[in-house]
Amino acid sequence: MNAVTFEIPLEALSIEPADISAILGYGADVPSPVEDAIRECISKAALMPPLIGGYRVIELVELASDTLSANNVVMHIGDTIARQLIHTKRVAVFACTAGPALEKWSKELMEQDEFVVGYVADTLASEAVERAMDRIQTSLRKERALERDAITLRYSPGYCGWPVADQHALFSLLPERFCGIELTQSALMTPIKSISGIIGIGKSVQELQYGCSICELTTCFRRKK
Amino acid sequence: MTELLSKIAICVERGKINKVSPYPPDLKGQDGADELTRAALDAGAKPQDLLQQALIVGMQKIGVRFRENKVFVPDVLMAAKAMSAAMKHLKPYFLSGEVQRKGTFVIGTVIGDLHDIGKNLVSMMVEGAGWEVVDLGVDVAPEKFIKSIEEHPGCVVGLSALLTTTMINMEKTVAALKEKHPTTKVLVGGAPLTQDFATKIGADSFSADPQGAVDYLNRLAA
Repeated sequence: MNAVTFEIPLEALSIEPADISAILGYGADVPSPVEDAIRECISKAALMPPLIGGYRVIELVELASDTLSANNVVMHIGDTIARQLIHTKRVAVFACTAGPALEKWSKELMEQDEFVVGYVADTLASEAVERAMDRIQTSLRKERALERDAITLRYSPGYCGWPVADQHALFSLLPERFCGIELTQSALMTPIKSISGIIGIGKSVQELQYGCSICELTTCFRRKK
Repeated sequence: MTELLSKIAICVERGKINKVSPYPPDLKGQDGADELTRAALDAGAKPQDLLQQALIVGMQKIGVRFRENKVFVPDVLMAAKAMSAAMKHLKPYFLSGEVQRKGTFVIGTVIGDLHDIGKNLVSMMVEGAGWEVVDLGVDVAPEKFIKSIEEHPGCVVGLSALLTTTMINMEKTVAALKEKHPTTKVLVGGAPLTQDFATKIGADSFSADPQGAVDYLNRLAA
């Protein structure tokens, strides 16, 4: 199947200042410079090019106890993710990026000692790319429902025991420079505010409960104690 | 003078940059770290005392509160900006040698990794603890660290990595540094790292948070 791509403007993601302040750790009492920075970043980001993301559905899939082969490309997803993908018959390989503009602005701000705005811009970019991918995933779910297929949650290299190095294998299943994303030798995506991974598809797959309890990355900063 | 130094420490801790900055609201309209530092110097405060008894104290307090999850990254960044406003008045004394720093800390994100926010946070906290910081940036090759060690004899090196793939590069970097400069102390940090990994690759210390880096460096300087 050919790859499908979407352009998603920031406004479509309905990111509210309270969403960002909560990610930063605050409750109701947000320091005014942080509130101002959040509003500034949301306004500025709305004027930037849209986020871009998409996926390609791969039909030839073999799921083993800790690997997934798609089009003869073997990905070492680990047994935790393999269990989550049970009954998968095909996969959507996805990538999504906030693009370089917000990232560049954040770096410039940091260099100008505008630390708070720079950090908030970085946080906003991270949240935006996840939300953009949520929308793309919803679109995939609807599209597959027409075929009476269900989909799993999304899983990414670097989590749950799936080595980041497998980004190279994953991106080999996508068109070159998919959504403008490139990989460094160390498997880092550029623009940095990009995500990638796989979503299982099948008649009997489920969006199984997923969270810190099944993840092996004990040092993750998002880990809930 | 002690009261003035305490006020500066509070301004740094609470991110009160200068008189025009409206935050924090209870200090609105009052002098901030910028004006108070100038005033202290004009009143005859020793620059070394300003560093030790005001800036370091303020940054230490915010660092501890951050470690205890009582404040968040933006609060530390606001403190760092206030510290920076005060520090600019001390720059001439650093250059003349009248103010002595505790040492030099060379920091960078290892080759292959472009993440810099954690590194920047550590840099700010370490500078606020009275160290000279040489920030080599991101994607730093071992050779660049080695060159910097040679330019700053006796420095301590900090390596940052955010990816499991670049942790491997951290191992190679530590090996290269230790081969060339075996006595140079190397501190490592980054989200995927653990003490076990740090020990395995031959690093001298691992820190899970910026204040931990400061504590380690202060132990070395003691």
